[in-house]
Amino acid sequence: MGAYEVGRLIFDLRKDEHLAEEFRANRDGVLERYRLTQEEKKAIRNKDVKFIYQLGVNPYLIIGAGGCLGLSRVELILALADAGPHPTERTTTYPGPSPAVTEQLKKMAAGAGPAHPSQMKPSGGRRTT
Amino acid sequence: MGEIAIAATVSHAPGITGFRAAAGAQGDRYYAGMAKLREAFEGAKPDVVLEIYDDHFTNFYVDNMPAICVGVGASHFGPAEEESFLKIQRRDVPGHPEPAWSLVREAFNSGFDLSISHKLLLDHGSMVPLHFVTPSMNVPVVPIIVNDVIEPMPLPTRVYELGKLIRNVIARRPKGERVALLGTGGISHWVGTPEMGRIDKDFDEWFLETAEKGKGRKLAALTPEELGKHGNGAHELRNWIAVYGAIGDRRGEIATYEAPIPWCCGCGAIIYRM
Repeated sequence: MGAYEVGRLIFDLRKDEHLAEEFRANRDGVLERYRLTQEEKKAIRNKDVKFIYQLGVNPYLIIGAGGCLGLSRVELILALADAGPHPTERTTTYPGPSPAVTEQLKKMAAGAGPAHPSQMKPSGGRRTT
Repeated sequence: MGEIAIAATVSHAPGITGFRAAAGAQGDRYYAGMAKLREAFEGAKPDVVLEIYDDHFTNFYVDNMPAICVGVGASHFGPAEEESFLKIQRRDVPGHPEPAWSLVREAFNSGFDLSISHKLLLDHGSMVPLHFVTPSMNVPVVPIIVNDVIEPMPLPTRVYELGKLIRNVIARRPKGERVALLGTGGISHWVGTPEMGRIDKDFDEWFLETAEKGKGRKLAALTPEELGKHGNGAHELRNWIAVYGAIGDRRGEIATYEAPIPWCCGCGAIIYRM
């Protein structure tokens, strides 16, 4: 449970194309293999990126979670609008979203902005490292 | 005695290659500026690129997070991201174990115990800049990964020292070996937070002008909190500071700066002709 385990799931899904494929086919089966609370599993099923961010998952994994949550990049950023400062990354300042940026992102969302893949697949199923 | 053939500090936002069209005229100007960098890079005829960047949870998770990791492998693979996203072809990228091990040995002999990796998956942090300067990936690359993504991160002063170490290593390399130094990331940006898309143009301009004048030592004195005022993404400027440690007070030339909201990043590049 917690930021480590949820972050681990996101990291693994990005790294391992076979796991990502299995997740698409049998999400609950994969979720069972991670030590997640019912609340955490529910957040993943409900695309609740704000919950995952407030849990303390690192923001670079948050932006990378779009694919597994089923959110486009722009949808994900807008869903974080009132998520507040990150709870554990304290050397950064969080002034809140810029209204001009939010306006532009909303326009992009209306025109279907580019998605952000959650998994980074090695090509052709061959191991790359 | 080896030499630094050219140095550059450049942004690596995935939007630069992944969503070029979304940035319109800003994107066109950015690409025109990067063409200048490519020309300078090719003219410098480097034998190897030492590329300092940060891994975005591609290779490393917090079960084991290196502060600084040198890729000593004979080859790497990249980009990690899908071609449909980053618009860069996936392929093997040649490494260069000899200078990589020179760096590692010299580091350990001087009390700088780095991590090493024999096989790295290169993400946008590495591949976007390489795509501009060496698109056919025919110059071997030594990736040097600095943790700029999760606390604790090495201090800017520490990575400046890494830069000095790199300069000393290059000086002891075989006569005529030409090294290109790349430091990538930044400039102001927030990633994966409510602020994403916000850009601090004033800070970006100040940082670029200070670096262009060869005052990298001043930038190395910035605290983590001072960098973090301009986004969690601004922590990546440690990678630029490492290059400044290697080139000292050398002056450069700002090749480009643009702040396109669709790229969610203040993006710029400085060329140091050596």
